[in-house]
Amino acid sequence: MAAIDQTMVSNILNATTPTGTSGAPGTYTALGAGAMKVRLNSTASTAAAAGTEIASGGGYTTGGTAVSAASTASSAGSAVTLPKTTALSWTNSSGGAWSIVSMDLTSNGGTRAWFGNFTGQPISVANGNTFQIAADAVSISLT
Amino acid sequence: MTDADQAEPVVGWVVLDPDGNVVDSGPPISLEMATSMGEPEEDD
Repeated sequence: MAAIDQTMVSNILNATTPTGTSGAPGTYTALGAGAMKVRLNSTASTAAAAGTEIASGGGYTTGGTAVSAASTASSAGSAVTLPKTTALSWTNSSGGAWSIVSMDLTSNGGTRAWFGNFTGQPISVANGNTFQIAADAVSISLT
Repeated sequence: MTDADQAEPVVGWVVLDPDGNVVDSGPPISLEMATSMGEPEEDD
């Protein structure tokens, strides 16, 4: 199943096909600057829309958590993995349990690029417990 | 075969209790643009 936001699909397609002026490649709309973020959702994400985000506060901040370092760039079509070196970590202090189903990879400003559902979801994270995504645990590829 | 020869499952996500004990875990996730190209989808 595709795991890329449908707007990003069109962005990539238009930039690599003769959809621009007089048959030139179309324009790629770049994601904004700043470290990309991983957001967590309590429902499944789809190509059309992100899932319902975990409520802000109590260990989670709306928009998600920024990666701390650059991933190794793709070469010869290889996949890109994240997070680089350091796990992403959220400790639940909300007073209730989190139910985590999916994640989205977004720009720092929240523009969505990729999404995926966790195997084994819904993942219950009791109050006081910590949810971590291990280094290089998310692999992203075009083929 | 020794214990060292037995590959441990690769963990993608983990839930830890306050003492750092693993409560739950799951495999890495792979996000792909498509799983196949050029093949018609079968009707249900």
